[in-house]
Amino acid sequence: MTNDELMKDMDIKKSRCLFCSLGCEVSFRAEGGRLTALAYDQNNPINKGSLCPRGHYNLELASHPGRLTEPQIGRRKVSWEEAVTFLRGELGAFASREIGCLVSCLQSNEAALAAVKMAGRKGIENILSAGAAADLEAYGGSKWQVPGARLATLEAIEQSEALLIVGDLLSRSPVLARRVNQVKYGKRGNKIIVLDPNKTHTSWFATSHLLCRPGTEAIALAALAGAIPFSAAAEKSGLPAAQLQQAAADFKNAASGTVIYVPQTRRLRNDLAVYYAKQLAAGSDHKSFIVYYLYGNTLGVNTVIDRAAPGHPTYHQLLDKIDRGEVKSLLMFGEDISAGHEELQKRFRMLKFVVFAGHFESESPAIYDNSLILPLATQFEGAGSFVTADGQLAVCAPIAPAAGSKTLPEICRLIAEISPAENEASELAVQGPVSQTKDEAEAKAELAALPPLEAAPVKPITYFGNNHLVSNFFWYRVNVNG
Amino acid sequence: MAKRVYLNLDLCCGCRSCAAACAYGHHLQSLLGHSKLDGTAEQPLHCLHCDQPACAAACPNEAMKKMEDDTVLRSQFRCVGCGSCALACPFGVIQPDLFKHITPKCDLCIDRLAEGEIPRCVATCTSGALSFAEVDDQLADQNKNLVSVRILSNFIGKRR
Repeated sequence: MTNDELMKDMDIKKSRCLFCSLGCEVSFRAEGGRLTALAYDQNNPINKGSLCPRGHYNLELASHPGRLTEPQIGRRKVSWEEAVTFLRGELGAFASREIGCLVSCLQSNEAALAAVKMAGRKGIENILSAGAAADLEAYGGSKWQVPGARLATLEAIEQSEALLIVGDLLSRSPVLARRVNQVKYGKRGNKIIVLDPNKTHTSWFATSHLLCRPGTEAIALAALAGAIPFSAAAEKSGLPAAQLQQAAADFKNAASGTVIYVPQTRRLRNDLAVYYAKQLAAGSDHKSFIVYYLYGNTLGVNTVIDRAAPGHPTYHQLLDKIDRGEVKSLLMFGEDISAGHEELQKRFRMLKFVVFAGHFESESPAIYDNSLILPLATQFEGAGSFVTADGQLAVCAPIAPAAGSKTLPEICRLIAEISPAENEASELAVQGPVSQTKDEAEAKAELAALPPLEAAPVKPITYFGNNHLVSNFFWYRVNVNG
Repeated sequence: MAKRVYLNLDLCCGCRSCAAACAYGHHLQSLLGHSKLDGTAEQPLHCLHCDQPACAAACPNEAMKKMEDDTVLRSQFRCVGCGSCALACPFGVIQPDLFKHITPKCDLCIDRLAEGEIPRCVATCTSGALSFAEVDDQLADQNKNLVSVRILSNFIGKRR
C-alpha cells in the first residue's frame, strides 16, 4: 500500500504547527473524533511529512490531560456564565485607559482582529501583541522600507545558489535542513555562508562561517550590504576584512541567493540587522530575504494590530504605564508571564485584576491571586488563519472538539458585542507589515553607537523548547537538562 | 533482502526529531539513542538488525529474538533489564534505561510496517538523512557517501 492509498483509507485530519513561523502542516490520525497519533503525510509541499521535535508536541497539545477545561476565578472553578458576569463586573470598575490587552503571537489573525474590535468597542487604547522580544524587534525592522527587497519563498530558498544564514536556523526551524542540504549538495560551487558568533548545528553546513563577536551581526550585515566599509566592520565585529569581502563577493556573484535571518535575544538591534539583510537582498532580482520568527503567527498578529489599531503603544510603553500606575488591569490573551516576560512578572503585583486566557495552568503562582483564568482553544479546536514567515496565508479548520475551551474571538464576543466580517482579518494580515521609512544616516549612526557585547557562555543547543507552552510537554521535560 | 534504516551522516542536522517521533510512537519511551560526535553534532544510533545478532546470543532470558522477517525484536515481558545485550552489541546502539530498568530496542515500527508505512524516524527526518530501503540498494546507491565527508573533514581539520 502506498502512502497515498493509506492516507485515503484512514481518517486523517490536517492542521498547522505554530511552534515557529515556518508553518509546517501537521497531520493526525483520528479515531472517534479524538486525535490519536501523528500521520506523517509526505505529500504536503512545506515539510514533506517531516516534523521537528517541537512539531511532535502538537499531538500532546491536542489531547493533553493538563489542558484547562473550565474557567477559574483564582483557584476556584466556575461556569462560563459566572466567569463572564465576574469579568464584566470587574472590568467595569476600571476606566478604559486603565486596561491593557496583550495578544499572543501564537493566536490567529481572526483572534487579533477580534481583540482589536473588542478594545475599540470598550475604548481600550493599550492593545498590543506579545511574544518573543527578539521577534518583535525584528518585526520592527521588517517594516522599514527598502526598495527592491522581496520576501523569499520556500522554492526560492531551495533553488538559491547562495544562502546567507544569520543565526542558528536549524535550531529554530530544523525542517529547513532538507532545503539547506539541497543547496549544499545541489550544485558544485553553491555557497552557504553562516554569520553567527557561536559554532552551531547550522554552522556545520556552512561553506564559510563568519564567527563574529557576539552582538555584532548587524554591523557585519551592514558591511556585506555595502553600507559601511569592510575595515570599519572588521574592527568592531572581529572578522578579518578579507573574509567579509570574500563573503560579500560570494553572495553578490551568485546567480540567486537568499538571506535567512533568525532573530535572537543575544543580539543587539535585531531591527537594524533585518534592515541591512533587506538591503543585501535588494541588490538583485534573484535575491530575497526571509525572517524566521520564534512564534508562529508573529507576522499576522502584528500586521493586524498595526493596521487595525494604528498608534497602539509598544510593550515597553505598556510596562512604563504599569510602573506609573496608569494601567491597573491586564487582559492576557494566550500569553503567560512565566517565560519571556520577566519584566512583566516583576510588575505583576501592581496589577489589580488580570484575565489570563491560556491553554494550560500558569506556572506562575502569582497569577492565581487576582485573576480570572479562561480556557483557550488551540488551532485544532477553533478555525483561524495564520501568516507564515514567507507571507503565505495558512487556514486551519477545527479538527477536534473543544472540551470546554473557547477561541479568542468567542471570548472577545462575550466581553463586548463585536461582529467582524468573515475575511476581514485574513485580508488585513496578508497585506504585510506597514511600511515605514528609515533614514539611512540615522541607521548608520545607530549602528556606530552599538556597544560591545560580552561573550556569553554558549547554551547547549536544544530544539526542544521555544516558548511558554512547551514546558508542559513530555519530550521537552525529558530533554531540557541535557 | 530485508529493508533497513540507513543514515547519511552528511545530511543529518542532529535535530533528534527521529528520537522524538520514536518516543511519541512507543508510549513515550524512545527506542533510539544518540551519540555526541562533537559539541554541536549528534548521531542517531539505529539498530542494524544484524544477521547474527550478538544481543540475542547474549540475552539470558531469550527476550531478544531474530524474527522470520529478519528483524531483531525484544519481548517486553521477558526482558529483565540486565543490560547484557547492551554490552554485547558491537555497534553500541542499545542503551539501557537505568531508571525504568528496561533496555529499549528498535522494533523498526512493526505496527507501521504492517500498514505498509515506513518507520516513524524515517518519515519524520527533517533533513532527508534517514532512508528506508533494501540493504543492497542502499550500498549500491550510496557508495559515494560511505565515507562521511562532512564529519571526516571536520575531525581531520581539528587534528594537529
